[in-house]
Amino acid sequence: MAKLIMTADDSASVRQMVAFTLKQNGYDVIEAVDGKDALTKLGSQKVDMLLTDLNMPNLDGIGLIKAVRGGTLNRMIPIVMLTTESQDSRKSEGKTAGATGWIVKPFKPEQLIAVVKKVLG
Amino acid sequence: MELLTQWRDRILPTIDIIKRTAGTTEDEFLQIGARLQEFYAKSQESSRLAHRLVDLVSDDDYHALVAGLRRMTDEMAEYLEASRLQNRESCDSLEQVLELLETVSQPLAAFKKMDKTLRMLGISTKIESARLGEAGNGFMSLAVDVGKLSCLVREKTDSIRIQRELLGSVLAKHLQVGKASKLLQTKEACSMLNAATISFDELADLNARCSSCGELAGQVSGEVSSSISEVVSSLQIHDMMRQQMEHVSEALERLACEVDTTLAIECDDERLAAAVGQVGDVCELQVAQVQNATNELHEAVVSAIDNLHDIGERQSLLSCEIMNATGSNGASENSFFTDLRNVFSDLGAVLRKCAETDRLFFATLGKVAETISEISGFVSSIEEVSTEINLIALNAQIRAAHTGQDGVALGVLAEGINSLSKVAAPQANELLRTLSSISVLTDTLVSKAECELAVLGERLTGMEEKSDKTVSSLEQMNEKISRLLVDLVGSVGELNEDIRQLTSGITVHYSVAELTRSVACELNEVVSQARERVPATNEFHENLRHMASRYTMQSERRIHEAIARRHSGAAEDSVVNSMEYADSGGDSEFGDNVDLF
Repeated sequence: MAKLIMTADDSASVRQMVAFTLKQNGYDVIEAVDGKDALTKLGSQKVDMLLTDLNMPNLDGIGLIKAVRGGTLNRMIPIVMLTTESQDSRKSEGKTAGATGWIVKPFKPEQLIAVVKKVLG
Repeated sequence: MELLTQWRDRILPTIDIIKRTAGTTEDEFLQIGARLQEFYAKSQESSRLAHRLVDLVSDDDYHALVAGLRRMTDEMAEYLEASRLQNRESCDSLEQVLELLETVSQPLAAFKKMDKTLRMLGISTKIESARLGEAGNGFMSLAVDVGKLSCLVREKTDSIRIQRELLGSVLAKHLQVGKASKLLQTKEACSMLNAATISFDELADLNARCSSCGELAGQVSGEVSSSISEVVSSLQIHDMMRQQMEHVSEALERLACEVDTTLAIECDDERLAAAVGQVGDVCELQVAQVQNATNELHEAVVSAIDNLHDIGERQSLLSCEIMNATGSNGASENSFFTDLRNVFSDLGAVLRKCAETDRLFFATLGKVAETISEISGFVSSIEEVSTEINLIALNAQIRAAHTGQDGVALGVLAEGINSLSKVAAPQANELLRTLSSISVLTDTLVSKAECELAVLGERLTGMEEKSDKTVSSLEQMNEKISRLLVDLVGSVGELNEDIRQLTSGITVHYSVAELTRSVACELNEVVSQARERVPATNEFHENLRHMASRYTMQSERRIHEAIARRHSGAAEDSVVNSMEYADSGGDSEFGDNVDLF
C-alpha cells in the first residue's frame, strides 16, 4: 500500500509540484493550504509523513510541528520543513520544535524523493 | 514637505501593483503544473513505445527470424542447383533423342524405295498377266496384292516420317524454350538470393542500429526526467517571487506610514533630511528587490518553457532515429521489411516457375515415349509387310513355274518380289533398334526424373511452407513495427503540439515584467529626487537593519548586502540575481539545501 504524505503550504503552485513529485514516485498525497488546515486534517487522518512550509497564514510551520508533536494520532511521524527560509537560527528553531529535516526551496524532485525515502526508512 | 507628499502619492499606487503582481499571477503556473503530469505521462508512453520498438528487433524472435531466413536462403540455393542439374541432364537426354531420330532417315529411305519397287513390280505383273491372257489370270490378283502392300508401306512410312518430324520439332522447341527459361529463372533466382543475402547484412545493421537506439531511448528518458525536474524547480519560483514582493510591499507600506508620520509633525531640517534619506534608501532597495524578483521569475519561466520544449524535441529526435534505424520511410509503412518480404515472396514465385519448367520437361519425356511406341507400331506393320511380300513372292514363283515357258517373265518378277522381302526385314529391324534405344533413354530419364521431381517437389513444398511462415513472421513484425511507429509518431506529435500550445500561451513573465517596470520607474524617480536632496550615506545598512531581519530568502539578503556595500564604498557583489539555496551548508548526501536532523 502506498505511503500517505501530507504537504502543507499556502502556495498552490508549490503544493502542486510537491504532489506531482510524490505521486510520480508512488506516494499518495494529501494537501493542506496552511497550518490550521493541516492540523485539522491530521486530527482525523493518519499519515506517514508531513512536509510543511514555514511561513503560512493562520498557523505557521513551527506552530504546526509543535501541535502535531503534542497530539496523538500523528505525533511520531517524520516532519520535514520545506521553506524558502535558510537561516540557521530558524533551522534550530525547527529542530527544537521537532522537525526531522529542513529543505530550502526550490527543491529538486530527486532531492525531495531521496529525503522522503530516507526518513520513511 | 511637499515633495514627501508627492513621493508618498507615487509610492502608494506601486504597492497596489506589487500586491496585484504577487497575487494574480499564480494561475499560469498552476496551469503549467497541471499539464506537466500529462506531458510526463505522454513522454513516458513515447519512451515505452520506443523501447518496445527497439526490443522488437533485438529479441529472440528477431534472431530466430534472421536465422530462419538464412537457412531458407541456403535451402533455396540448393534447390536451385539441384533443379539446374536435373534440367541439364534432361536437356542432354533430349538432345540424344534428337540425334537418334536423325538416324531414322535411312530406314525410311529404304522403305520409300521398297514402296517404289513394289509399285513397279505390281504394274509389271499386271502388264505381263495381260499379255499372257487366259494363262496369266492368276497373276492379276497377285498384282493387286502387291499394289496393296505398296500402299501399306507408303502409308506407314509417311506416318513414321510425320511422327518423327513432329516429335523432332516439339523436342527442339522444348529444348530451346526450356533451356532459355531455366537460364532466366536461375539468373533471376540467383539475383534474388543475392538480394536476400544483402538483406541479411542489413538485418544485422538494423539490429546494431536498434541497439544504439535502445541506448538513446534510455538517454532520452533520463534527459526527459532531468527536464521535468528542472520544470518542477522552475515552477516553484512563483512562491519566492510572491514572498519577495510581499516583503517589498510591506517595506513600502511602512515607508508610506513613516512619511505620513513625518508630514503630521513639525520637523526640523535634520529630521526632514533623515526622512528624505530614508525614502531614498528604502525605495532604492525595493527597486533592486523587485527587479531581482522579476528577473528570477523571467529566467525560471523561460527555463520552464525551454525544458518543456526539450522534452518534446528529445522525443522527436528519438522517434526520427528509430524511423531511420528501422528503415521506415514513413509512419505507415516499413520499407525495409516490406522489401525483404517481397524478395522472399518473389523467390517463392521463381522457384515455383522452376518446378513448372521441370514438370513440363517430364511431361515432354512422357510424350516422347508415347510417340516412340506409336512409331514402333508402324514399324511392326512394315515388318509384317515383309513376311507378306515373301509369301506373295513364293506364290508368284509357283504360278510362274505352272505357266511354263510363257511364265518365265513372271518368274523374274516373282524373284524381284522375293528379294524385296529380304531388304524390308533388316531395315525394319534397324529402325526398331533405334526406337528401342530412344525408349530406353526416355524410360530411364522418365524414371529418374519422376523420382527427382518427387524429391524436389517435396523440398519445394517444404520451402513454401517455411517461406509462408517466414513471410508471415516478417509481415507480423512489419505490422507491429508500423503500428508502433504510428503510435510513437502520433504520441510524440501530440506531445509536441500540446507543449507548443501551452508554451505559446505563457505570458506571465512578460506581464510581471510590464507591471514591475512601471513600479521601478516610479520608485527610481523618487530615489533620484531624494538623492538629489540627500545623497546616500554609509549609514544605509544600519538604517535598514530592521528590514533585513524580515527577509526569508538568501537572495533578498544578498541584494540588501550588495547595496549597503555600494554605499559604504566596499566592493559590490557582482552577482545578485543568482538564486542561492541556503546560507549554511546542508547535508551533502542530498544537496546544499537539505539538512536532516
